[in-house]
Amino acid sequence: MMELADVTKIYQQGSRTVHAVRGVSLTVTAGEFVSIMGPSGSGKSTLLHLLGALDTPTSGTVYFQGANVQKMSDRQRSLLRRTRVGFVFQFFNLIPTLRADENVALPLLLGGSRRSTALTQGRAALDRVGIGHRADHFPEEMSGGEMQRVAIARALVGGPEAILCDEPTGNLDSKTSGEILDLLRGLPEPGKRSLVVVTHDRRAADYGDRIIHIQDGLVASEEVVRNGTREMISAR
Amino acid sequence: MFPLQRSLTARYLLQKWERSLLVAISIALGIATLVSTRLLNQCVEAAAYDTTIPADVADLYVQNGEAGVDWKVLDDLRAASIPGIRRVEPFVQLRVALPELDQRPAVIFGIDVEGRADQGTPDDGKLQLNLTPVDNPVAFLVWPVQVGRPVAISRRLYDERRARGKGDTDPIAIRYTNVTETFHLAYIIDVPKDSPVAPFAENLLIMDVAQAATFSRRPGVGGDRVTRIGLYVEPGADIGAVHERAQAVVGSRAQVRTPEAIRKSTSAVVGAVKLVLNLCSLGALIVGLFLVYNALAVTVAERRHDIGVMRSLGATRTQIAHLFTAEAMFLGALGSLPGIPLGLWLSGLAINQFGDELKSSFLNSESFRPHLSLETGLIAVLAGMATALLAALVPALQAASDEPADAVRRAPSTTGGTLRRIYRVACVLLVAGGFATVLLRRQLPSPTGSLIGGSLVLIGMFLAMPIFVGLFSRLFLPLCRWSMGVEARLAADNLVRSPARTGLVIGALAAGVSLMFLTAGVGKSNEVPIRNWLEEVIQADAFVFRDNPAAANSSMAPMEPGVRDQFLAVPGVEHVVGLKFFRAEWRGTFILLVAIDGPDYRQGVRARVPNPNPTLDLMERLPEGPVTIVSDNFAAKWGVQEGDIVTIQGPRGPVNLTVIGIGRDYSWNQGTIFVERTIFAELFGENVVDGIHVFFRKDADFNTTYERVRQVADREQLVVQNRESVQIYLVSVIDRLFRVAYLQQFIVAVVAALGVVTSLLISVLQRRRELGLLRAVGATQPQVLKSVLAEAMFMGLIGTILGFAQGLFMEWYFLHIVMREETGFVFDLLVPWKEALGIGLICVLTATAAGLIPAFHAVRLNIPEAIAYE
Repeated sequence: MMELADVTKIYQQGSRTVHAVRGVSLTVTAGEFVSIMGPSGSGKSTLLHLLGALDTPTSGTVYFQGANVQKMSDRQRSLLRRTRVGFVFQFFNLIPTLRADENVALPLLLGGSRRSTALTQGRAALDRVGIGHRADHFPEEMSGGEMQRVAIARALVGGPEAILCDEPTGNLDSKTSGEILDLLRGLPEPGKRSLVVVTHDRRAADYGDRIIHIQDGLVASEEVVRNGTREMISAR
Repeated sequence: MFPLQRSLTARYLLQKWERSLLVAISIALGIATLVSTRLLNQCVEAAAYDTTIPADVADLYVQNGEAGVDWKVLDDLRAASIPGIRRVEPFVQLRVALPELDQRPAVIFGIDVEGRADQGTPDDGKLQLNLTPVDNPVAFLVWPVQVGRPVAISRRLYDERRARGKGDTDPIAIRYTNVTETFHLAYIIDVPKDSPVAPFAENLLIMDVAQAATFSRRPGVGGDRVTRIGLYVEPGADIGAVHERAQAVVGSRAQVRTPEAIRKSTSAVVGAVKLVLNLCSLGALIVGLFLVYNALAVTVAERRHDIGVMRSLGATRTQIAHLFTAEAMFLGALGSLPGIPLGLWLSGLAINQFGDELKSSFLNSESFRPHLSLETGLIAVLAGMATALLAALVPALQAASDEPADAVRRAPSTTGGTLRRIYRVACVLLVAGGFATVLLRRQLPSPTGSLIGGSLVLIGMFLAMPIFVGLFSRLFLPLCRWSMGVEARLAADNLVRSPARTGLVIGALAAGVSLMFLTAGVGKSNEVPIRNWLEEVIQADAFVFRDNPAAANSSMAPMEPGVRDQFLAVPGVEHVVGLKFFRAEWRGTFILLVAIDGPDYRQGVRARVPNPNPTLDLMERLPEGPVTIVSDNFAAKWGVQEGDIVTIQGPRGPVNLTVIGIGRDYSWNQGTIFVERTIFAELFGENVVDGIHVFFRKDADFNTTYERVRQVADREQLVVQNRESVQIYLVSVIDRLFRVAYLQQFIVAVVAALGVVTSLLISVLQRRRELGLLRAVGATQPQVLKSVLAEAMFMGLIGTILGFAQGLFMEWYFLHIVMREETGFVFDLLVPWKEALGIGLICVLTATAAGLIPAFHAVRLNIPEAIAYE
């Protein structure tokens, strides 16, 4: 359902040119749980941003459900992110001035929903991730794990076809990380919803059906689960 | 409704309430100046119109300025029976005093009451006067001799008379010049609010026009003169043709004009005042606009990450842009509301400064009550919202144009390049356009070219302030870094690092300083020569007026010429100089004609001033005939030289005066001409005087002579003052004028100071991690305090230096371009060193004080949180 075809991303950092992604091709099918692993600066977050139409490639093509994302207008890409893709970030990225239910309802409010309807759905999503009792609290009043659950609820509220997570446990202790990963594991729906998780943590990566190893902007190798065991597929 | 705005905007504004409040206050002050300026302009215009064409109901007017229209013109117009003219009506307006009501000023309108009997209601009832007759048989008693002198008075005056025990049959005393005559009450006038005479309703008297003309004692060829003649045109008639035919009948004795042409001409006269007021208020609004921009730009920078998050959740660029513009417009509307009553108060304050002068100069002093209309209120709110919207445009577009991934990643924005280029081009265009306008000013209506051109240059320079601050910082602050402690060095580094944030605020401070410097500089450059001139020309020992010095040069409070002889008869008095002030129409504006007893004045002054102005001796020649001495600004502005003929409209046609000399005089900004008083009386049929200068003999005892003069004045119900008090009064007029200017600049300075507070609060936020680190490695709270205060002080210092440079240029420009062009006056540029020192000190102290709140925020930082802050 999501595909990167020979995608490259280059950006300027002051006077330095950074080749974040160098000619990567990969596919994520509907219902798949894919982990993308690699050290810091390997380009894994950039890959995630490209998959979710948060960024545009320097060259190559990105497809979402067969549609060429580059040919979409900015408005169409915004709509894509609002209704068909959900993001979960390492540092939660909640709006500090909004309560938990308002943070979750934000994509619906952006879509023009009535406030009351949006908040009702928001609270429902919070219940689903086990944090409904904190609906009226602001981010500064919550723990890291609670904030990440709110972020997951926000990613789910619009019923997206793909959820993209950038180091979702990077800022959490091991116990909370486990809880969040267990929560994430329940999200993919076979044939419907995919989950892509970017991580440098092996334990988190093992939750996925497929692990893509990224090194210096290139796919170094892939691991897939076959008959209950992981098999390494060599790099392209 | 507006769910996004309710959730995001309202919550953010509440959380950052101090910044929101500062932005709203900046807008409020800008709106206050806008409202006060608008109200003042409305008052000035209304007063000017009410004085030029009160009771405006006719289709055409025959006028002749202050000279009045001869009664023969009226007879000729009636006799001509011009097709299309339905009615020809004379009108007299007089400013009088009512002795029974403590010399209260009132206005007489003389209308064609006799015509009413022949042709129906005068003015076709357009004046909407409701006249209630009173039972007073004497009023209309004409047999066996004309005893009755009927007059109608307004309801208010009637009630006040009754309250003082005056009955309907008691005569009414009315004073014009220093002569009081009695009239008889015939009617009470009730004036509806929408009547053309409503502005005068409180103090109105109406009588027959012939009676009013006689009372005004202005004899003409065919009878007493009237103020104007109104022509009422038949419906459907060709007004252009009627106009032409009427002018042909009138000839050179007067001018026939439409009400629109008169209003346009009046507008032109007050236009310069309005333009200056408007530019001052625009200045305050622009300073406020840039400070709002500054605050919003930093808000966008702060919330960039949140914007990235929203974009990643599917917010479109338009939604992001709308969010910030809606926020700005809300703050704009919020700020406008307190700005409106503040503006009303400011306008009242400004008018109060010149209460006496305004009442004396205009026919209707009631025009000078600022009235806040719904239209003004709406304009104020819309202006506030528009200012904030304009300020928000660039930050909003920046916010919307950022790539979501860059914002989420907190990577530097790559979208600023285009906007920066546009900004630089805008600065260059404004400055270049301004200079071009100044160079081409002679092709534009004066003083539009010079004022607007200068304003464009200043706005361009103000916009470019971040560039100047960056350059300045790079040049001078390394010196500070080398010579000062670590706190100051950090502050200096911060200024260099973020000129965009601080540049506009420093620019606003510099704008305030430069405006105050300009006022002080122009004030000093004017005041010194004018004081010297006053000391030379105000030489008499006693000065006599009818009401007060403010009325003296307005021709609204004349005196009978006979009083002059009474003062001359006082033992100890050597010379008595009568002066008549006459406003003559000249090339679309008004000049001041001073009719003076030239030889007496010359002799009086010569005896007291050893080396007077050489032109003084020419005063001996004034009685030679129709000759004139013109002021140097008149000669410079209008290109007049000795030997030229100056033609002024008189009551019987043009009057030609030969220029015999040019002398220094600062009486009127459009120029002054001097004529011998007796010749003026002959040519213009005006022998009343507006002021009397009394010179004592050198061997006379001053106090005794002064007391005798005072007794004569008391007898004639006149006011007398000595030289010192007159000089003090005249200087106080100048001081009050500059006080009003300083008031507007004070507002600009307050807005700038608010900008410093906002900018520093933001600076503290941006430097949170750095300040937290400072504390973590051992800096004390006082050291952190000093660093923030140092930044504030540097901002004040740089603002002061740049402000002085700009102010000096502005002073030169104002004196040598604007003032020279507009008035012909040439003043040497004097630098106000003392005032500059004071202004600089105030600026630096204000900026430093403005840094206190942010400084205290900084010292209260929680160190672990500050270090952990991303």
